[in-house]
Parts: sequence; structure tokens; C-alpha cells
Amino acid sequence: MAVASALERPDLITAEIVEASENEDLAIKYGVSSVPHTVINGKTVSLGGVDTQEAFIEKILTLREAAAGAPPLVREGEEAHVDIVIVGAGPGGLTAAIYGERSGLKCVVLEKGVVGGQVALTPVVENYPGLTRVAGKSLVDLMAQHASQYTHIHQGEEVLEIKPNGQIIASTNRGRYICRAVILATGAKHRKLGVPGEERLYGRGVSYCATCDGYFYKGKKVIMVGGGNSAVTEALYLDSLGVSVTLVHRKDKLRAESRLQESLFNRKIPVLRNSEVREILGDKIVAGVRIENTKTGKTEEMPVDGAFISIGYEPVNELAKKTGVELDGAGYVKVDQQQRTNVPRIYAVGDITGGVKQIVTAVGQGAVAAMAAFEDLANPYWKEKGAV
Amino acid sequence: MFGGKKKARVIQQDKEEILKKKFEILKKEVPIYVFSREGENDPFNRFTVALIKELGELTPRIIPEFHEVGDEVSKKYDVSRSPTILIDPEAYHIRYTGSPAGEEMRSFLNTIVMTSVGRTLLSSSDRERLAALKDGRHIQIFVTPT
Repeated sequence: MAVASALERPDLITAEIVEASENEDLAIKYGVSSVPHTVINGKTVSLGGVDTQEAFIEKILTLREAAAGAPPLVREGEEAHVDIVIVGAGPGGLTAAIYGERSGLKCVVLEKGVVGGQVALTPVVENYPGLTRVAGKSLVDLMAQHASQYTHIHQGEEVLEIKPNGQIIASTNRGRYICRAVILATGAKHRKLGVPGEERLYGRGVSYCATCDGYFYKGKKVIMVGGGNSAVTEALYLDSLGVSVTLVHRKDKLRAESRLQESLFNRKIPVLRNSEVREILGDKIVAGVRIENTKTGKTEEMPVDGAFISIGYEPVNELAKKTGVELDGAGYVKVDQQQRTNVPRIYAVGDITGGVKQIVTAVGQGAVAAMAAFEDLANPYWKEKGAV
Repeated sequence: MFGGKKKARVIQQDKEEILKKKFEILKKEVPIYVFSREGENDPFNRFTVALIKELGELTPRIIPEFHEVGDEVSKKYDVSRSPTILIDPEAYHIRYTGSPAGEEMRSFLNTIVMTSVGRTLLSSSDRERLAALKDGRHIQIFVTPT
């Protein structure tokens, strides 16, 4: 976006991409500890994360970091007719697009954030059949390239509302889509610890993405909070980058696969069990953490340069809720074996449906949902039942 | 010819064909200026110089130029860091301070394509909004290779 803006307004806009590790003095000057970190006219306007195009242009124009929860900018005018709107460009959404298009249905994939979802931020994937070991981003790139041979993927376009009666209207921050079915593949977002210092120091030593930010901590000391596959995988990744990492887990036993735990042990990565982070300390950047051992009750302060958090995910269900789709007690979308929700012509796939949250599951569900949509649009079961 | 190892290329052979295909879309020539200074980030200098040289070999639309930090050209464009890359500096102000390694390679290649083709991903409404800009903006994006 920076480059595109500089190409558009060469009279007024200059774009500089700064590689932080080769230019440490500049990175220190602007307090860079997560990427991408955007500075405009000497002022930081973005810490980590990826802006939508609209938000980035807004920052260029106003020189302000967008306020948390600020409403996205809605654009009038653009309207398109498609058969299926797919919300989310993770493995589930991308697979649904491939199968939908191959069934002869015109699809569009709308992604408000990063194409690939969580997988794009996973350092290594070792359990996707056919690929012994692959970087998450590489796997997702393969899927996205495959899907884009069939359909359009719109990054930075957020679906704000779905009106499912009669013609389905999906309104986004760019316009409206009139469609015949919707597949929700909105995935899940990082769960937070909810401790003091976590939000204040986000992007300044607190991170949820080892792939994005681990590089900054080469030769430095960090904790990785969590005990599942993701936390252990990311701890191993940080260790391989030359980061001194300690795993902090609230229980006695780790939940991670035994092979991952074996690697942890072999690499002599310290593990603090029965330990919970109570506070993340630091003035402008992370300087330490306060950890309580829940068995002994003892609390200690550990000086660290960074705190990585990988304690699971919460379903991204705001759109599903607004649409009237039924959720279970944990907030996941309820679906039948064909990925149908309670609302005719609305389907859901991947982590948003709970269950086994794996790439391979989302991929399978994406295919099932697309084929179900094809069948249902040809034989509308809801009309047989007398529904609208 | 005799003795010594052949220098390893930055762009692997299997990627060359893919890049040649990608560059078929290039229209306008894109001068790429590379600035380096020995003793400052040497491994990244070597990588960057080799990368731009090899890209220039893949398509006649990429025109590499190599300079020393401290020479007249570097003073003209206010380049003081090594390595630094300027993309078509007579027409635009697009700079890479540091080498475009790892994940940044993709964005670097896309920058070359956008500059040559003259088309970006900006929507018509984005362009309208930028047209209203009255004052200068210097955008710096800090990245790492991962």
C-alpha cells in the first residue's frame, strides 16, 4: 500500500521499506518491536497487524492511528451479483471457493485481514498430508494461488452485514454483493491473557505471532505462554532463531503432541509448569513479567524482553451472531453434516464451527459446504418445508 | 575458468523460469539503483547486488545501476545507508533501506511490476481520496525477513 500510494502521488508521497535488523538504530529510534510497523512523517501510526486499504489511506491522510473499534469506512455504489459469498480466506474459505467454482457457481472470497488466516502466521506445519514439513505461509500461498485460478479473493474487504431473506445481500466496507448463498469461514482469533500490561504493551514486546515478531528477539530473552501444539511449535521456532525462550504453562502437563514435547526436551528449552502470568511489566516496552506458581503460591518477577502468548483461540462470530445463525454455548456456529447452519443458504466451515481445529478439517469442510450449496441451490430444501 | 568455485546464484534455477514468466507483463523500463558500502552490512550488500544483477539478466525491462554510498549519485538521492535500493528514482520516491530478503522479496518483486505496468491495487475511491492530499507524506514501513 505504501508503494502503491507513492506511485499514485509521486509529487507528495515517498515510500521507504526499512529492513529493521540491518538498520537497528532506526528501529530503536521508532520503538519497533513488531512488524509491520508504520511511521508516517516521523509518527508511528501502526504497530503490527495489517491494515485494510481504506484504513491505510486514512492514516496517510490524517496521520492518525485509527482508534480501536472505529467503524470501517463504507463505500456506496459498488454492487455485484455472485452465487456464493465466502467470508474468510483461510484454508476453509479457499477450498470452498475452488469446489464452488468447479461446480459452476460464481464465488467471491472476502477477507478483512490476511489471506490464509492463522495458517499464514504459523511457522511450520508438519501434519498436512502430503507435505512433511512446510512453512505456514508457503502452504497458504499454494492454496491461495490455486483458488485464485478460479475465483477472486478480495483482501481488506470486510463483510459487515448479511441479510439472508429473499435475495441474500452481503454488505461490505466496499459495497454490496447480491448472492444466493454464503459460506462463513471467519475462523478464530487469539485468546488474550487478560492481565495488566498486555494491551498497553501490545506491539512493544507483547506478541501473538512468533513468525511475525520473533526475529526482533534474536539474542534476547522471552517467554512463550501456553501448552498446546501452537505454543510449543512457536517456542521451538523462536529457539531456532536464536531467541532465549522459556515456556510458561498454567498446568502440570503440556497438551502438545508428544513429538513436539520431545523436541522441546531435546533442545533444553525451560518449561515453567503450574505457572501463570499475572502481569506484564515495563514502561514503554516489555521489561519483565510477574509469574505466580499456582502450586506454591510463590510469585516472582522475571526480566524478559518479550512475552509471546499462544493460549488458544476464540471464534470470530460477530457476523454469525448478527446474521441470526445459531451458536453453541462456547460461541461456535452449529452446523449439520453438510455444514448447513440453521439459516437456509448459510453454511459455516473451519474453526468457526469448533470441533477439531486443524487445517485439514477446514479444507474438508470447505469442500462439503460448497457441494452442499450446489445441491441445495438446485433442490431448495427450505422451500419444501414451506420456509422463505 | 580453472579452479575456484562458481559463485552460488541468489535466484535458484527453478525460480528463474517462474520469474521470467512474471516479468512478461512488464511494460516500462524500471531503473533500479543499488547503493552499497564495504564494511557496512557486507553479507546483505552481496545479496542485494547479486539479486538485482540477476533480475536484470532475466528481463531487459529491469535496468540495474550500481553505486557506492558516498558517490555523486548517492548524494543526489540522499542515500547514506548500505544497502539501499531506489526504484526508478527519476520518476518516483520508492526506497528499500536494507535488503529485500525472505518474505519481503515478494513485495519487492510486486513493486517492480507495479512500477513498470503503472497499475496498482488501489481502488478508484482510494485514488480519489489520495488526490485530495495537499501536503507531503514520508511513509516508512519497518519489516523483517520473516
